[in-house]
Amino acid sequence: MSRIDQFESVFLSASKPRFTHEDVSIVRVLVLTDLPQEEAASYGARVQDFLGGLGQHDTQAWEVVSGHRCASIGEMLALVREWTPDLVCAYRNLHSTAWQWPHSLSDHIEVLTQVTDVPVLLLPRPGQSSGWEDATGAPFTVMALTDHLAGDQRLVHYAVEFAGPGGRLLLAHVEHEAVFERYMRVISKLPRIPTEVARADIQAQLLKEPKDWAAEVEAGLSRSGVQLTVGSLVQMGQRLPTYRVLVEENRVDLLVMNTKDEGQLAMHGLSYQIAVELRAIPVLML
Amino acid sequence: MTFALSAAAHAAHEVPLGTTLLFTAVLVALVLSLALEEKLHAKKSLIVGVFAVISLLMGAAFGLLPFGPLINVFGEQMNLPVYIPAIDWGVIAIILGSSLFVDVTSRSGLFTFIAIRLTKLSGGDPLKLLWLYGAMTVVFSAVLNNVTAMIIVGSLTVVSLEKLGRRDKLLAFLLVEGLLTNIGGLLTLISSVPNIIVGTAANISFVTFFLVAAPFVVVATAITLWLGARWNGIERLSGEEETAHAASLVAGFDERDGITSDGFLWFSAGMTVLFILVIATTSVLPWVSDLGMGFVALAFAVAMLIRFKAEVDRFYDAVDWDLLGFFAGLFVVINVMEHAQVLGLIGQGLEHVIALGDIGGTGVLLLASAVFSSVTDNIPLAAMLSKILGGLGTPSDSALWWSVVFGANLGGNITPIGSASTLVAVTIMHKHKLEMSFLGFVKKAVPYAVVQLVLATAYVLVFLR
Repeated sequence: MSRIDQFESVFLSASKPRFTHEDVSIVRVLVLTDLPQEEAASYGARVQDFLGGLGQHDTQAWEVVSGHRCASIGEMLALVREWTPDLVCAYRNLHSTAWQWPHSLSDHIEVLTQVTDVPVLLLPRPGQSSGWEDATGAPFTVMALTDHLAGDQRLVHYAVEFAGPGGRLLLAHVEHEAVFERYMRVISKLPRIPTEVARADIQAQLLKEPKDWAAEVEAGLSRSGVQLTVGSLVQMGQRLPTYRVLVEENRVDLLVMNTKDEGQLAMHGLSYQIAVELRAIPVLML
Repeated sequence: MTFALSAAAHAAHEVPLGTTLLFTAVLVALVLSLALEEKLHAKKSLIVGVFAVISLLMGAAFGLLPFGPLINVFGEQMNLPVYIPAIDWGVIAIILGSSLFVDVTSRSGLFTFIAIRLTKLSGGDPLKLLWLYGAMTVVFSAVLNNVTAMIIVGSLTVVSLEKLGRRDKLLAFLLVEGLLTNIGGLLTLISSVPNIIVGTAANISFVTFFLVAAPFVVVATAITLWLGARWNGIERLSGEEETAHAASLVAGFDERDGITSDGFLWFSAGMTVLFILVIATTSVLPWVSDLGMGFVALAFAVAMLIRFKAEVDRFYDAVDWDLLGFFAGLFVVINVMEHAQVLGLIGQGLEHVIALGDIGGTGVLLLASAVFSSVTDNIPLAAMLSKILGGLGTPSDSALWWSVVFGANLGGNITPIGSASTLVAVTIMHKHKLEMSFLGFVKKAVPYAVVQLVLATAYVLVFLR
């Protein structure tokens, strides 16, 4: 009866997620800082400039928080609940002195991204010579990335919204080579599975799904008349270093990624690594 | 058969009744073992193989086998083991050739392309989907074989109904499709093994077979689908939103996903059409008519295999050797039974049935064939009755041949073990955690089978007698 599996596999492979473009409504934006009021206002203006492409359909409401207004995590969460923003903007190591050691995001950011459902735009910390503060304008190249890109509609909706009309959307997927090799080593010890066939077929299928999704997103955006250049970056590799290279090579202005993992309280592993390590560019955390 | 038996072997031989009854007991034991195949946890080929070995040993011990040289049409003597000419190699060649041909053609993505196109054509509407899948099941069963048809359509049904959120209708779809494979299996001379065996024995041409069977197949398919929809509450979608949602879901299917080469796809489509045309006209094509349909099937398989010349062994691995071994063993057993006068004994019983008259004899033979086929494999029945009817000098245009064809095929719709394709349908149900016991299947399938058998009996008696 292996032929049943064979044909089911063919049809499952042919059954692909369909992308339907939807506008994301971002009306209320909350900017969290621990800066003195004046600097906070200046920082808020830069954020507003960065988000200039947003809210084309809606009127935006802005709230810039300064000083110690949200010094405790409880105060921060209460403000988010009370103000009900569509987007929270903050930077790495908010209300933390650990910014000198680039090994974490801070308690505030880690709790914020996991407790609330509101997307968090994590920006470079002020004064960290990232160049972001001195730059102007909205993001042009937005990269959406995940370890399971295919079918993630929400991720793409946000990425499209931030790229804005005429921008460039890159859909990136790096398949974890070390994990793949681990499974291949196991398969090589199983006499019933031909190793070379398994290697070629599994690798091809792993890369095919995100590529197909990217093609579907491009087609879906075209169907909806969205003017955006769509590209896909799909490859095997070590995730963090590969994403780092892709970000640099493609001059990415904004990364968009999921941070929640239904099976755990902590932030999704890869998202955390990227948010901590790629400190110089803004990251939208969903 | 290429060879004529030597004069010595042809000499009429008297077999004591006791010996014939002993061999009859062996045949009954074989039939029972096949009926209990699942309980025995043994493959058909092994079961029949054991009985073939026992039959040959007994045949040799009782001096019933025609040992000695064979003489071909040029008068040349050839020494072949007695069990080699016992096998109908023409039938084996058709099955081997067509299964290889279908397997290689499947690799082009042709059948999945058609299947997905039809899914999209339905717009995700359950009733349209049932009719389109039903029609596809019948056509695929006729062109390919009923097991492959059930696997293709059944697999797609699972994926598409899951996608449409209609898992509650999956059991009904699979059941109706399973039943339709045996109706589709009636359409052409090569659609099922009983057709091949009976058609070859009765010398019915491909075109004649198709012209006789097609009207019944169309009507029986339509009635089965109508009943399937009615008894299982499968209805059209209502409301624009629901319709649009279903359409967008099936639009996500990519019919080109499995296609690696457009050239090979078109080549496969062309070869499939050509294969059907050549098979249909084998009896009138010069040279080819002498070589037979088995040659045609093998020749087309070889032509398709050229595309995969470096990896043909992968296709050999996929051949259903259990099925081929089963046929070979079965032909050997039946040959021994013929020599032991068992078939003659059954033929005497059959003469009583035929003596019931045109209406009674034909009708009883059809229904008896159906009942027998429902509890065990229909191939031994077809092989045995073909030998007996041939031995009785039944003319090609006799309705008795059609009674065997209709009964043997439709009998598979009464129980899940009645045919390989309904067994595949049940296997898919179980794979997807749908409850379906033996009796549960019988309870659901019998109403359809009764309607189909009444229709078939009426058709044979009114139009073919």
